[in-house]
Amino acid sequence: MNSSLPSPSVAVDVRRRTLPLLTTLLTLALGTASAFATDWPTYRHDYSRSGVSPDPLPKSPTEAWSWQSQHPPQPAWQGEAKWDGWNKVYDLKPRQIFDRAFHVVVAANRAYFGSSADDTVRCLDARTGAPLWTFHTEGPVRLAPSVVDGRAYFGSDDGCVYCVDAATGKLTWKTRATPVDRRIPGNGRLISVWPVRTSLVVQDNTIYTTAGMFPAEGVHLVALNAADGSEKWRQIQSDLPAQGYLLASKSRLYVPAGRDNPAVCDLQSGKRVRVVEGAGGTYALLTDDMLVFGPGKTGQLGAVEDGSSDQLATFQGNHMIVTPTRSYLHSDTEITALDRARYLELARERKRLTREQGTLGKKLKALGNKPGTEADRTALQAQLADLGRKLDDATQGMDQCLLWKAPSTWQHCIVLAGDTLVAGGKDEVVGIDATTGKVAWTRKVTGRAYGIAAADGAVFVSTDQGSIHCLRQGATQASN
Amino acid sequence: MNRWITTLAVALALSPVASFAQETGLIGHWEFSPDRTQNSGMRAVSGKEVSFSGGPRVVKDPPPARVELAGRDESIVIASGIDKTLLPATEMTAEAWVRVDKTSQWGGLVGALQDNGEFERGWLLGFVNSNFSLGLATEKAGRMTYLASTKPFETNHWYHVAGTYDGTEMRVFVNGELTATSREQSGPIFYPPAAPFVIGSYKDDDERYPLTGAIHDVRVYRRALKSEEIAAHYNAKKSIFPKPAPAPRFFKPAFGPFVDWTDRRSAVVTWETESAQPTRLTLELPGGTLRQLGDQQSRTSHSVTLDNLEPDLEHHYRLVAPDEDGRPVVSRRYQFDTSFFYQPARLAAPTKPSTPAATAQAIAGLGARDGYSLLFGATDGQLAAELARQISADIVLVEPDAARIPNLRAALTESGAQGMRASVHHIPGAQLPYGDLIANLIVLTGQKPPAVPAAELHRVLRPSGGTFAVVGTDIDLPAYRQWLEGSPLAEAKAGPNPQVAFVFTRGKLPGGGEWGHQYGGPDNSSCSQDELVKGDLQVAWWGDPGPRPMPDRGNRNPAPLSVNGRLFIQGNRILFGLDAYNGSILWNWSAPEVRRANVTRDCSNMAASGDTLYLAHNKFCIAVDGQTGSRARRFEVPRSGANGPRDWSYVAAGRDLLIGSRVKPEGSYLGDDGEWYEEYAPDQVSRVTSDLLFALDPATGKSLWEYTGGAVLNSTITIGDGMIFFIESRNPAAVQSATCRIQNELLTDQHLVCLDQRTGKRLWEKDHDFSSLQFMTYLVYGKNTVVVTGTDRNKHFHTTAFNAPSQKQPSGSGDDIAAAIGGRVLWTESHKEDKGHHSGHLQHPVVIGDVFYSDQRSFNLTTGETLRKDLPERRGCGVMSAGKDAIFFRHHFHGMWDLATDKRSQFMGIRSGCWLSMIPAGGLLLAPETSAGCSCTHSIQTSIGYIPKRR
Repeated sequence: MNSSLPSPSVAVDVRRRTLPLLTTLLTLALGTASAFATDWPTYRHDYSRSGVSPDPLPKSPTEAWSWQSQHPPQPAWQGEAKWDGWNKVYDLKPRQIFDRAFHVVVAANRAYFGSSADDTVRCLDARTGAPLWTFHTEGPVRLAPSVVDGRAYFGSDDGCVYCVDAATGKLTWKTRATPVDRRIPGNGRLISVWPVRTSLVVQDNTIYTTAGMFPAEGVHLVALNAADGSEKWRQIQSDLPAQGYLLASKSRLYVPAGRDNPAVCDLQSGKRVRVVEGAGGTYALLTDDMLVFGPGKTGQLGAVEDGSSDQLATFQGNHMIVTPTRSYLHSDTEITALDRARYLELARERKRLTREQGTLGKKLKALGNKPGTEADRTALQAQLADLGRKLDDATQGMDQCLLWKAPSTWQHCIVLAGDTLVAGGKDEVVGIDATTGKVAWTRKVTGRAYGIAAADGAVFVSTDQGSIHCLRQGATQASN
Repeated sequence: MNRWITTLAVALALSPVASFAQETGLIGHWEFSPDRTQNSGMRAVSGKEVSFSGGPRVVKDPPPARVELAGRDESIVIASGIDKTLLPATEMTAEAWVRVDKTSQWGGLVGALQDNGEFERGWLLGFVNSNFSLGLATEKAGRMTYLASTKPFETNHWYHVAGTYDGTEMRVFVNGELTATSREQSGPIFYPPAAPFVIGSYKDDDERYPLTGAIHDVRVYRRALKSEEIAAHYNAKKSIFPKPAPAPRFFKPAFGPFVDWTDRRSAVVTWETESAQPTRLTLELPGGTLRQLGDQQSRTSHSVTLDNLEPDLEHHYRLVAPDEDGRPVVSRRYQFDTSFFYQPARLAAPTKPSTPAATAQAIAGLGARDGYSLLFGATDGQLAAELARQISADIVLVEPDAARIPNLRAALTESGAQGMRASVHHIPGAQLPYGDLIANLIVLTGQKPPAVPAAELHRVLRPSGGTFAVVGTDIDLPAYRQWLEGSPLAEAKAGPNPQVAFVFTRGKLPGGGEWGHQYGGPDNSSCSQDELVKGDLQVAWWGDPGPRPMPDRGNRNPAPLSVNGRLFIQGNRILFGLDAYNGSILWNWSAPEVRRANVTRDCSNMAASGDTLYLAHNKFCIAVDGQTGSRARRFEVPRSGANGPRDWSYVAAGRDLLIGSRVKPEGSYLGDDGEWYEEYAPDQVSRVTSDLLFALDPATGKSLWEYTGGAVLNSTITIGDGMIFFIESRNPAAVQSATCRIQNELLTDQHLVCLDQRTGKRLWEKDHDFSSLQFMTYLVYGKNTVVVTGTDRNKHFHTTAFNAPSQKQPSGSGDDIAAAIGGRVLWTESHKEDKGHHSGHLQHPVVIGDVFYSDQRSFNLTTGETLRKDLPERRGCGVMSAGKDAIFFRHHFHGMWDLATDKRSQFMGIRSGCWLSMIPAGGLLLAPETSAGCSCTHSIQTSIGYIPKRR
């Protein structure tokens, strides 16, 4: 038994190690009706934050219901600086924003989301949008809950971790994530010095979360007993904050650190394994063998292989969807589909060549213009030129891994449900055929669509205006 | 590469580009003219159309037709990637008619390149500093050669520039003449896998240097044109270009513009003109759609409301006014961001009459309307909801009884206040979890006092105006009196309204210092005299403003100020007033003509005293209401002896004295190009000087005195013990400078001058050789000693201390006065800078008591005795600030050196910028976000306040 499994009829390991394979199997085995039964129990479906659901979507979903918050989301942080004057880099990407919308999770036909505007977690009937319950905390709830085994788990800026009955919203237990209750003005609200700003991972009857913003105050990484919230272990970081959605594998916990790079910790003890290299950011994705994160300074995702700290490859884009055979790269202006295996093979080759180039370059530099080294210099230059050509070949080969490329104005979010990519833009979402890149349908929403969940054959869209839209097949519209 | 050529040949055969070619080998010809613009781009005369972003202006009047580029975020893209059908393979020519208005280290006219460390590919026709150049890399060389013309160009002049490469030789032509050749490169051009093919910018993955100037046309060929062809191109058009090109004219309002946000979708823009005239505003929405706003009414005060803006995005606008001949003249392109609205959400009026409205009104009438309010004893949520409608504060209902909370929340939810305007905290005990000094308003409404002791409430109450009140008509007065007894709140009196039984307003925090000027006080000591900020600190608050509204970190920007419990922050042409004790943003507005950079060689444009922020803006100094941000009062710079326009420069403010200085417009540095001002170059180290010092009565605006002498170095103006000190150059060339920005060569005949602050009369002066102070000149005062310091071009500090006794003006003149009264050299000291990195040579000194801290050393202020040479290392480009017991600086992150314990500490994750931005004041260490633009991954960018841990 693994308490990570969501409760509804089709069990999908939220770690999603084998999910793409399941996609095919489920589709084949269950047929259309049953295939609309998978949950989206945590942010981006699973703790790999894959954004991939096996559920195929209806061909032409329409709005079934919408829900509108009295006030729009109140993100903790605003945008990045306008530019980097020293390096003359413009259009810097925000690296510490993770809460632009009320991200929805779905389990057992119920939709759940937290609110940074009114400090609550809400549960709606996923089929009708009818409110089922509202739970109040004492601070903004910036991240989506995780729903496991009939319980919803979430944290709040008030510094507490909550467990409520997923059906009724009744408090099961609550615990402060740090030993001390100290509240001060933070991001415009009177909140804990140690707000919970990394979501919760619930796995093997254990809850993993963090509390704290400022390393000088201590940033607590804690494991709690899922049954009652009692503490299993606690590690205190004194160098990095913890902001964004946690990721987890069977043995590792990945802790986003806002503008900085994620830390990799041991799941059993919380001890730091390493901090990966990159350009920072709160978006992260765990694939079978690597951590992809960003958006860095300019909208660039870095990929770091398991066990490594340095980057294997970088991608121009803000988000990525990964299946065993394909990677979908999502940038401000386009969506591209890549032959994943070939691309990674070439990326590894390029990394090797780059290292070799660096080594030869250092040798050449060491030679300088010393008399009598002309022959060595010429030989090294020839080798470098040869390496340059090979690098070009590798780079061109990577270009040829492109399966399709489509222009996009839906830059805010992307998920994959069955064989449909769903992407969010300003005032609309689109369904895109993942095989061809063709837009299959377009639907209006209110605001910029920063959050998308796909479950139960439906799409749940969250916007920066505090709207939640549910799109289903043959729906008749309702709204709160 | 051979494969590329083959590919190219095939592509050429198939490409539509080939069919466009009218001249042999012509790839593209782009002549900028409004007649060719379309959508967000322009058709080519020949070849591929270009796309625009960032709003480049294509104009044709007056001739020549051209694209005007302001050196900001405009871009003109031929292709976003390496498209070999659009790029020459081996032979090439690139040529352009261009006017460069501002030189830069690198500049681009047309090209596609990557020059990132050892990765050097592609080509670029551009310039290097003041010399036109052709940069090009071939596979054979593997590196770029930047072949630069031997003759520098002049800014604001039109030139025809061409670069050719025939496979063996690079050539650069300027105005039809060959000016440079190189044979370093040979063979095919070596292109990067990816690079944008752009006009008007040096742009690769790592860097972007946008052109400030204009381009008439650009041509690119896949062959090397002959000298005669290039000369013919030059001769064919040279007559249409004026010599020199007239400087671009911009409309500049007399006052403003200012943008006041109404919400995230609307704002009001106001500005004034010298005379009554019609003006209008052209609004550029994100995406490029234009809206024309305003009317044709002639007036001096103008106002336009901008509605239906895109939330959370940058918008641009220009003002347009007729010139003397009735022709429209546009202003510079201003920007504002709709995300810079920070005020709390407004609540809808209640659907039925609100029972507690009168009570809420009584509470609101106490005056503490912003920040955080704690409400005790609420019987339902109605009062809190009504209060949230009447004041701006975030209201927290402190409730010990869990059973009552659902009803409270239900009422708050119904009103729309729940969460972001009002919330309920379940606090069952006698101790509050809240940090010290954070609450602007604490209101008790219960009939009986709460279980929380009065002293505990006083702990949380904000100094400098925080208000405590007991409100209600049926309260148990004896019980409250007993509860108040023995606490500082026992001083509470009956309120002005019968509903207010007790009211108490907390005064300033004893021992809390103030930071009202660039370097603390007008003495430039960089010390606030704060006695409280020491020992172990903890976070008091954090939040906006973040990096988005702030200027780039490296521009040596004006320091934040904090007086009377408020914090004033100057962003990138946006001003903020915050509550220093809890970080609440009281007000903010955009002022695109307000900007000052390189204060290392100038002075700040703001000072604060009491409840007023004084802000220099063009010819005015605005007296900004510190609490509301109102700009209702202003003073105009004196006109005495001026033969042209003048701006207000230096500002020092006291209770009854406002001291200013005057410069010529355009004299101040703006830092818009990401300058760091740390190199020894004329455009970085030239001093901004004033031609007039003056004093006003800030209550009446009445002129008290004026002083004219030499060219006064703004960075040296210092005030202490009733005296004003400064260094002035009396070199006539400096005094008569057209710009007020003086190069070192003209800074001769320097004098240290002391004036009486009350009268402006000269008390004494000292002729002294300060010529070794080449990078900068600082002046600080303390204990009747004035210290002048700076570094020479080899980064050696040279410091001289003079006596400056507080005496009445004696009889006599010149050197006699100096000898008898002040200006006697007390000590001198020189040393090579210790730090050796991150602008160590620009460090501003600190004076605490009788110790002078400079570089990594400390000295006795009056004797010069060296006390220490081992000040803690400071890794980073900021400078030091201090209270009485601690020095603050950037050491990787926010850093602190406690003088009593000699212990250095740092606050991981948060760093300050490259000038003075951490200030101890009012018992807190205040550190607005100033690391904006830092490419590093330090984890948090936020404004923050620190407070000593409770002992």
